[in-house]
Amino acid sequence: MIRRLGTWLGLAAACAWSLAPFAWQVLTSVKPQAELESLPPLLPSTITLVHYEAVFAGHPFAHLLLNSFAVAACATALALALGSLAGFALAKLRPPGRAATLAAVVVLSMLPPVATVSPLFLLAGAAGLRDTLTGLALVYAGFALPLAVWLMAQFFRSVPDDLYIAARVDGCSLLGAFGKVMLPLAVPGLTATGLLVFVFCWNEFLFALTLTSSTAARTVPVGIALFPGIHEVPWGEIAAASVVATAPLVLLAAVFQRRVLDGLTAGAVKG
Amino acid sequence: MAAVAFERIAKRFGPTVVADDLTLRIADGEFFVLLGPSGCGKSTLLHLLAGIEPADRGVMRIGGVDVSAVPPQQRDVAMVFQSYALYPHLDVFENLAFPLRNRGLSGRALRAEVERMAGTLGLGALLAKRPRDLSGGQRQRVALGRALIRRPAAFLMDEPLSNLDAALRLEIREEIKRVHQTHRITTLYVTHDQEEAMALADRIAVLRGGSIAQCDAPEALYARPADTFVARFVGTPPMNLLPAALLAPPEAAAARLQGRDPASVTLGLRPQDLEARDAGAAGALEARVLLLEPAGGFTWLVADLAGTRVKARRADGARLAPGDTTRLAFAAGSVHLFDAASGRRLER
Amino acid sequence: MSARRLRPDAWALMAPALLVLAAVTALPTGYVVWLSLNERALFRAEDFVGLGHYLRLAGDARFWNALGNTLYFAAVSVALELALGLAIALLLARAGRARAFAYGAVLVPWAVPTVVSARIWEWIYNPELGVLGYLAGTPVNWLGDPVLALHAAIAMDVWKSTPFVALLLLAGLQGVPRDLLRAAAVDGAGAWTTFRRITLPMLAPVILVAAVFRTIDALRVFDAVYVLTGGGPANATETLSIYAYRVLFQMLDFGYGSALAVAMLAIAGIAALAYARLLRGGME
Repeated sequence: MIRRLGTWLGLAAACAWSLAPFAWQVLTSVKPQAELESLPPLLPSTITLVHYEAVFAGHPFAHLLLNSFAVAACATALALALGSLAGFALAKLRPPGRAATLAAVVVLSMLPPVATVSPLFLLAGAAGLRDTLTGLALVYAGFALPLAVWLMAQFFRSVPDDLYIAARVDGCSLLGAFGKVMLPLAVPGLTATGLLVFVFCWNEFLFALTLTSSTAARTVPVGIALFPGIHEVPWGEIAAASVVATAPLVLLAAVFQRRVLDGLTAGAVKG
Repeated sequence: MAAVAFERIAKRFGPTVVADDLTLRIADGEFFVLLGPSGCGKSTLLHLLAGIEPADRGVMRIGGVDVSAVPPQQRDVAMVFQSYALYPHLDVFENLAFPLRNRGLSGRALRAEVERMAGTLGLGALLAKRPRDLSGGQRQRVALGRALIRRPAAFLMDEPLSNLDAALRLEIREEIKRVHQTHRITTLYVTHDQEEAMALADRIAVLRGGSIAQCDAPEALYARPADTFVARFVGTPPMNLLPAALLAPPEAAAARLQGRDPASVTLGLRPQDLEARDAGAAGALEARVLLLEPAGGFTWLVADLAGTRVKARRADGARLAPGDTTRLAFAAGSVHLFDAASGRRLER
Repeated sequence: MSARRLRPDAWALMAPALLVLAAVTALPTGYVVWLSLNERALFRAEDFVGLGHYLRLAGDARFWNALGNTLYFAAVSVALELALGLAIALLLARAGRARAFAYGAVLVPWAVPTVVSARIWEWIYNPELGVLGYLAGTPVNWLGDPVLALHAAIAMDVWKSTPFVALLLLAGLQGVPRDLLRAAAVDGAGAWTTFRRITLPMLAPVILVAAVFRTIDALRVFDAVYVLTGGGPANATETLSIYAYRVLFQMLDFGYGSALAVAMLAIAGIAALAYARLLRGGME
């Protein structure tokens, strides 16, 4: 009984610790400006949306959101398409050298972004892709690919070999078997991988900071990091922007909880 | 329908030799069983023929045509798996229709074919169900139907009965035999169960270490095993192997050693041919009873024969108990002789 | 080896992914090494200087300071994340009916973008208006003090990254066969003995994986600390990534900055090789 109580207290503490900082930011975002300039009060006397209005009215924040969404969606689609093909080939066709290929993929996924940011800056400039959504999406897809290949290989591995063989024998070409049988069976894996890649792209900061220079291609994290303040930091607006930038991800994580957990733990535990 | 041939096929996975210069010719319409211990790569031979795995060397023919470079979808073979391998995201109708859709069939013609096949296999009521809602027996019927529906040149079956419980196994085994008798499609059937092999096959190839230990009709395999490996593998319980030196001169004469040095000969006696008599009976081998296994109408007994464990049969085990002495008798014609060094069959 | 054994079909499917990987990760990795051997400041032509930048690096106190900060940051935050993560995983494993909610709550820090989390904590740490000072009862300049600032950054990273560790370890915990725990209970082992003798050893591989994952991530930390403190005060929180970024994009010294980047590559390479070694067993 005491043990049960301890578990509940511990869980409550863990949940509070996880939720409190973000909850504080949500509170900040709806506090009237006057109440932000002193503490206490902890809780807002009235709930106001002026900070949200300011974020959207005073800045090109809506444009940044659109940029972020476009870049993340394109990069995710690209990484899923290429990653699932490669993962399928590695898991089901077992080419010689697959172990070395997978090891190389893992090593690439561990590269520190700052190590390649200078060459990518120069290469993107040379290719005319600097400050474009296309350039950013390509870079993101490349950086997310090791994760996508690795996860999809893990998920395809869990689809029985016999199903691939049956599809081929039943008259499917290689791509037919992939599209008609393997891919539909890997939808949970595809969802998990897509979520992780999307979150990675949505959150990425370093490349977004260096490869973009104007609102044309700037994404939300850069916008929040460089939030303009003339005399003092506009904490209310920053909080509002933070909530807007985070809400889609928290929502995705809540709706697809199972898939996110699958994705986070695949490979590390099963693999 | 077509004849199938493996010609000098070699295949290895790392250290595992699946096939080493293997040649097999399967006649048109034949039911051919590949029999071997688990994990010896029998299934891989089917994958080679289906084109899923490339062979390292050699030629495969279906209907006389070299298919080595033909992709799987054009080889016109169908496969039945131990795991059933039904497409879990499709219902029974779509599972049966899958091979036909891949051939461009659709609409009313497709529906007619699927319904006809479902009717023959008694699956008519299940067409709208998903594989996960079916019993094991129903799943394997659907798998059979999916393989049969496009009348392939050859049927490849990979231990199709191994996942079924004993009663269903017999039922589906009969179904497979019936299907073969009706359609006479060349069938290549892989199993590790010799009883299954005997019941189904026109011919059996016993595989060991990537090559063929013996390839023969079931009766011949049982009556004249080519070596001690086949002798032990085919027939239950496995054949007893004894050093011929155990025999006293009169039995040696009966076993027709024909002047061979008894030390160079291994004697094979099937438990069915070794009858336990009461102590004192003349002209037989003396053994000590270790265990008794009642089998219904008769009793198997395990006995110690001069240090070798042997299994024998007794019409009535009631009067024997572990520790008793018994005498084991056999008919002269039932003895198999093998070379003690190579294990190969001697004489005839 | 014959062409048939090389599986051209498999390589054809992998080719697009491998090409993009080569273009976006492998090629720049080679290029950065070349850049580090050259003097390439803005408005000047390239000039081969060989290992000159690396000699400069060896004598650069700021580099050693950044390396020290990075290693300290990684060591402390990973240790804390593992300890807290294990505790939370054990709690989550016994969450029962509250599971969906608890998982969801723990996932929130993971889902918060790093930049946002830096902004959240910057506000919490605010010397006059921050809630942390309010709770402490006295205003503290958390981010203005060199020692406090680095630990404030570590606390933020622990908040953001512990969920990943906890969820990974939770999956590992769920992989411990229940029969084993029952057998231990039948054999008379208490809760602590069972945990130490059975759960922990069974969990060891997952803990190792989590440790390596987190270490590699912590070693390359950039956005969290950069947005929180900008590397200050007085470079007390300047990590290698931040230093390299500043040399590259604020001083626009691509040669020396690239040498710093290569130094980071070497450190990450050591960690990654250790990881690839760990994983090899699992993949085959």
